[in-house]
Amino acid sequence: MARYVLKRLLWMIPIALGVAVLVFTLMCFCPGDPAEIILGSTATQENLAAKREELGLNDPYIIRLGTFLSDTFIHFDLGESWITGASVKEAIAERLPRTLLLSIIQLIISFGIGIPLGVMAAVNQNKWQDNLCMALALIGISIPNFWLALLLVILFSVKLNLLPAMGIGGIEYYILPALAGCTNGIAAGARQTRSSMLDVIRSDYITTARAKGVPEWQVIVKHGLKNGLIPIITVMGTHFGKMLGGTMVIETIFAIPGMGQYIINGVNNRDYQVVQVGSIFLAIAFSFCMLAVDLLYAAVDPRIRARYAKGGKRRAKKA
Amino acid sequence: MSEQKMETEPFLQIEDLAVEYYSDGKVISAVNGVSLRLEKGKTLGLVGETGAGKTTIAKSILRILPDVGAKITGGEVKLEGKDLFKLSEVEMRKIRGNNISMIFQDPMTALNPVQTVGDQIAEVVRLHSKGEKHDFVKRAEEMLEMVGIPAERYHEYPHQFSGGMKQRVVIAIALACNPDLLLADEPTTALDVTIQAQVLDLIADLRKKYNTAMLLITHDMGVVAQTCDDVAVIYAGKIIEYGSKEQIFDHPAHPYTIGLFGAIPSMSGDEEWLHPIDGLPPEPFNLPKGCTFHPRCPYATEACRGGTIDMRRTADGHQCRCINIDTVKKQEG
Repeated sequence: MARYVLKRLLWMIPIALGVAVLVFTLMCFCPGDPAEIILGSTATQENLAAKREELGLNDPYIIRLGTFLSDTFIHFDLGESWITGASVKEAIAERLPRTLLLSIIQLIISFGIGIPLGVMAAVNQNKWQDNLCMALALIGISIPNFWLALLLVILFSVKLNLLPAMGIGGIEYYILPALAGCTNGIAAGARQTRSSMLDVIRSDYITTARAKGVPEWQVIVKHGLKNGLIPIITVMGTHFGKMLGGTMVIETIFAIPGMGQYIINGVNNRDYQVVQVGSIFLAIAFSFCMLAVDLLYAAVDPRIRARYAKGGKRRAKKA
Repeated sequence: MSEQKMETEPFLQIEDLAVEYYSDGKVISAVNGVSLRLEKGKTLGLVGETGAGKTTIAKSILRILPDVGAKITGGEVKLEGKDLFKLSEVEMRKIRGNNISMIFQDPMTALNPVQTVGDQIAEVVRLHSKGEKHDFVKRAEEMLEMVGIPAERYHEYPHQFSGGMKQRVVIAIALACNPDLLLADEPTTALDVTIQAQVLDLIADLRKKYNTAMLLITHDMGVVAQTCDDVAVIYAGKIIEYGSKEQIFDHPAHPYTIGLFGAIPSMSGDEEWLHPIDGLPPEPFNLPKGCTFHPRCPYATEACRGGTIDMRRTADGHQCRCINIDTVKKQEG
C-alpha cells in the first residue's frame, strides 16, 4: 500500500512537468503582446522593445521553456507577476487555501445533500420521492451558478442582511459562494447515487441481508451504500477537481481572491508567469485529489485494496 | 382446509399461497394456491423446473420478495400456529435469520463483497442475541470452524474464498442462530459435484444437531433422494404431486413426475436414450386453462383442457393433481 502511494506521488513529477510544457507552449502561441499590455498603448517602440528584451520574449522558444522549467522545478523560483511585480509564490500561498476551502465546503454540501437524495430516490424508485429527487437534480444541473449567486445575494445579504455579500473574512463569507456553486454537485451526486444504488439494491447480498433480519435502513446504508460508493467517489473526485479550477465565476461574483480569479486575470493580461505557475499548482492539486479518490476506493473495497497491495497491477477479474 | 387428518398444528403450514409478479403491465402468476406442511426436524423437497415458483415460495415465507413488482395475493404461512403474514415488519425481522433462515442459490453473489465473512456471520448473531461484541465474534468463529473453515479466516473477504467455501459461509450465516426452519434454495446447484456432496453432508450434520426442519428447493432428484422425507413436485406455480419420498420415487402418479424420472439417466437400466418431456414450461403470464401441464402431457384428454383440477389422494398422504391417474397408472404399469 505504501509502495503504491509512493509510486503515485512520484508520478506527479512527470504530470507537473507535462502540464508545465503544455501550458507554456499554449501561452507562446497565444496572440497578444505582453509588453504592450504592460506598458499600455502610449508606449514607444523603443520602450516596447526594451520591455520584450527584459522579459526574455526575444529568446527562442526552447531557451525560454528551458529557463522556465529550470527556474520552476530546479530552483523553485516561481517568479513575479509581470503586471504587478508581486511574487507568484506569495500570491498562490495566499489564494490556494481560499479556493481549496471553498471547494471543500462545496464538496461537503454537494454530497451531503446529493447522496441522501439519491438513496431516497433509489429506494423509492418510480414513486413520488424518486420523481421529486430527479426533478431537483434536473433543476440543480440547469441552474446557472452566477444567476443563483445573485439571487442568494439579494435574499440573504440585501433583504435579510444575514450574510456578507462579498469579500473574504471569516467562514460566513464562504457560505453564499458555496451554496451558489454546489447545485451542480448536488445534482451529479444525487443522480450517480441513484443509479449505483439501483444496481446494488437488486443484488443477492441485499436479499441475504434482509433474510438475516437486518433492519431496512441498515440494509440500505451498510450493505447497499457501501457497495455503491465506488462510482459515487469517482464523481466526487472529478467534481472536486472541476471546482478547484472552475470556481472562477463564483470567485468573481463574490470578489474572493482565489486561484480561479488569479489565473483568469493572468490570461487576460498575458501574464505568462502567473498562468503557467497557477496551472501547475492546479494540476498538482488535481493529482492529489485523484490520489485521494484511489485511496478512498481502497478504503471502501477490499478487492481493490488487494490489487494495490499486489503492486497496483490490474488483473483481469475472473467471472 | 378440507383435510382433517392432522389434529395438531403442524410446525410449518402453508395454505393456498398465491404470489404475483408485475412486469411491463403483465401479471405473472408465479405461485397459485400452494399448500404445504412440514414437521419439525423433517425435510420437504420442493422439486420443479426453473421458473416453477420454488424460490418465490421460500422468499414468501420470509417475506423478502422485492417490494416493487411482487405481491403475495393470498394464503397464509403459519409457523407453529403463528400467521407470518399478519406479523408486523419488526416482528418479522426477529424471525428472519433467527427462527427461519435461508441458504441462497448462488454463493458467488450471496455475500456482501465489502464486509469480512466473520462480520457477516457475527451480524446475524448480534441481531438475534444479547451480549457483547466479543460474544458475537466468538460465535462467528465457532460457526466458521463448524463449517470447516479455520477461525483465523474471520477477517478475510468473500473474494478470498472459493465457491464451495463461500457456500459454507452462507450456511454458517444461516445456521448461526440455530433456526427451527431452514430454507435451502438449491444450495448445491452452483457447486461442482464433489463439493455438492460435502455441502449436503454438512447441512445434514448441522441439522441433526439442532433438529432443524428444512425446505429443500432443488431440481436435482438425486439430492432429493439423499436428503428428503417428503417431496412436493411443482409445475407452473402449483403443486402437482405431493407425498413421501418413497411414494414419489416408487410410484410416481402424475405424468409430469413420471416424465421427470424419465429424463434422469439410469445407472442400472440398459436404455440408450433419455426421455425428455416434450415442449416447454408454459409462460407464467399466460397459463393454460385446466391442467397447466396438458399441452405437454401424453395422456391429456378433453377434460384436462378446462375447469379446475383438484388434488386427489391416491394413497395415504400421497396426492396428485391429475384426473387421469388410473389411465396413467395402467399405461406406465
